[in-house]
Amino acid sequence: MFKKILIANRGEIAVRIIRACREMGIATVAVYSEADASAPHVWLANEAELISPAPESESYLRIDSIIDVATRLGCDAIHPGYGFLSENADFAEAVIRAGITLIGPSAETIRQMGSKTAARAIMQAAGVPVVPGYQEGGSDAALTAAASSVGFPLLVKAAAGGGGKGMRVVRDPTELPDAIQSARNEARSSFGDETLFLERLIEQPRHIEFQIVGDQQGSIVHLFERECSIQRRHQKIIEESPSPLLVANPDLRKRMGEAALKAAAATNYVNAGTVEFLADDAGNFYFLEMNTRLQVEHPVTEMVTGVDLVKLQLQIAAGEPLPFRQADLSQRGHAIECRIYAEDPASNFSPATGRIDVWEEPSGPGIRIDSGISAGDEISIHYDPMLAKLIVLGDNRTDAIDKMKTALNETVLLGTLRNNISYLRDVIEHPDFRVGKTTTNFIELHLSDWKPSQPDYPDELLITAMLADEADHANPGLNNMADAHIDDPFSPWRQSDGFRVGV
Amino acid sequence: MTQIHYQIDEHEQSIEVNPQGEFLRFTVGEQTYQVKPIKITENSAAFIVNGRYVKAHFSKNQGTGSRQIWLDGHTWTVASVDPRKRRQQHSPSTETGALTASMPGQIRAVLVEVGELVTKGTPLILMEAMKMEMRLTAPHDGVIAAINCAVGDVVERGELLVVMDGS
Repeated sequence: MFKKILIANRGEIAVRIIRACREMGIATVAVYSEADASAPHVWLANEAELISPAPESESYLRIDSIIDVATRLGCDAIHPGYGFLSENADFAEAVIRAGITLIGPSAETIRQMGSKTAARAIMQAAGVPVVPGYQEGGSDAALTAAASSVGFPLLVKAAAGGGGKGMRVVRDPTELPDAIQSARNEARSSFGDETLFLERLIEQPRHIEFQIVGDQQGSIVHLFERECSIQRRHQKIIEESPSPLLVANPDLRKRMGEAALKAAAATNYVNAGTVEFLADDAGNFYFLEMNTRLQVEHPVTEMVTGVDLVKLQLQIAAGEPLPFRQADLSQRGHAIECRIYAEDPASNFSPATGRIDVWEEPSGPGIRIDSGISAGDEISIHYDPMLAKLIVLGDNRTDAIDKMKTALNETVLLGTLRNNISYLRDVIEHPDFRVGKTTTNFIELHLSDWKPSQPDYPDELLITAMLADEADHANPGLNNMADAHIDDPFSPWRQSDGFRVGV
Repeated sequence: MTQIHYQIDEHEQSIEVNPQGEFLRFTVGEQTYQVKPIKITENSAAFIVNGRYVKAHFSKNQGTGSRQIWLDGHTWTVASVDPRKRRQQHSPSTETGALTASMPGQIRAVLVEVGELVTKGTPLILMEAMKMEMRLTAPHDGVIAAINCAVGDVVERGELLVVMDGS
């Protein structure tokens, strides 16, 4: 087993990985940018090093600096987390060249699956159903000629793309030329590669992905599905396992699971990964992409299967065989995850940076919170705005929804930033969510006009405000606004006869 | 007796407090509440109101007189207001055509020049924050009078970016 691991990431996933290492007695090294100098992952690790300061947004992308720290501090492995360098084949190769183990699949697998068109071709050859499409790239003329055989409506997509960038919907052949131009421009500026491909647009699909894991001895299993249909602008906000569609249709789960295993086998997959599909209510499903890393929403799989995926990743990377076979795995209960973001839903979800004054996490049976924040932290503009993930495990889906609602109601996040907690609550309370009618256009269909709906404030709010002002008043120097009003010599705040405000 | 005026989001309400033995009697409009504070800290208050147990959390009051208060799963912004000061206050003057950043971020592109004539809706500035791109567009037709930022600048919410003439 490894002696010391460097975590090339930040926030909640860095904390998650460090925790798994601690439980296994592995020493940890954190890297950080100046903006993250007081972040939880820095203080949880055994050692931490500042990565070259500017520009902040690139600190965690500095391959040379990261490998330099790992080498100097004697790390025998690096865990890349998700995002940043986790799917960068050059990074994987550089790590291996430095004689360090990368926790993840091979550089070759990372490179293969990193190209959407190459991935599709491999899957098609392996007999995994793919979305009808045209992936030979090429000129505008070639794309236009292929469009009719792909069928409308279709998507024009960037081959090197992701996150919804470089994508255009085309419903009518007349819209095609403009869509191609505009997608090329966005692809060139976002990814430096203007290669495009076409894909049929599957209307109102569900996004269902399978967790796969393979060991170095060649065994591959899947740990069932996660449904991630609740997305806003292609960004996932709520995920769950099992998928309501597959609960109603266990045969579909069996077929999709087999397809996921075929996909993994086609790439000789080692370590943890995810095969993403689009599925419709008619029982059709299509390969979308394969993610060669641990995903943000991995906790829902951990909750229903009881498997610690991060520890499993370390074991596999250290050469150990999978501790179970497919038949040993099962799903129990229902898990839901909500992502808490520093964004203002009342202001078109614009990033809402600021300082965290109060952060109280909910807890209790079946409640898990993966966070990378603590009170006093400043949330800056430099990184992804996800603050924490709240995950619950219930006996069934209804129980899980009730538990999530309760947990959201117990989560306290106050300060100068804004968050999406009230939005998440409204999503899970929506009647269509309650019955599992979740497709990728759920948000657009039901919450596009969402406005925060606050109940009328209770008078206890004002009582609290006065008590809070007194707490400040009792600690002068914190704030002197309260003094402006308390100029009454008979003020109860001035009396010393038993009225105490304690800390 | 102490009275404070508070502003809660868009509403205003005053509240009065009088000592009453070991309790405090709060009055809000027609309602009175008998309150016993149990534990008040820098960020939380636990108290009993007319026999009901209440726990609230609140953020710092940074000298702006405003703080966030969490109660029962909901959060409000509450500010203490001095009615005397408010009457004397002028409404904040906004320079005509002063365009400010609606969110913090980094300037990625300045798309116009001083002296340029633009129409309503023309994109003027591109900003980026948290991997999202936002654009500042001209709210009306006019001429760019001044540009107060440059590519690479990191700006705060409310900072002046562009000044436009005409409307």
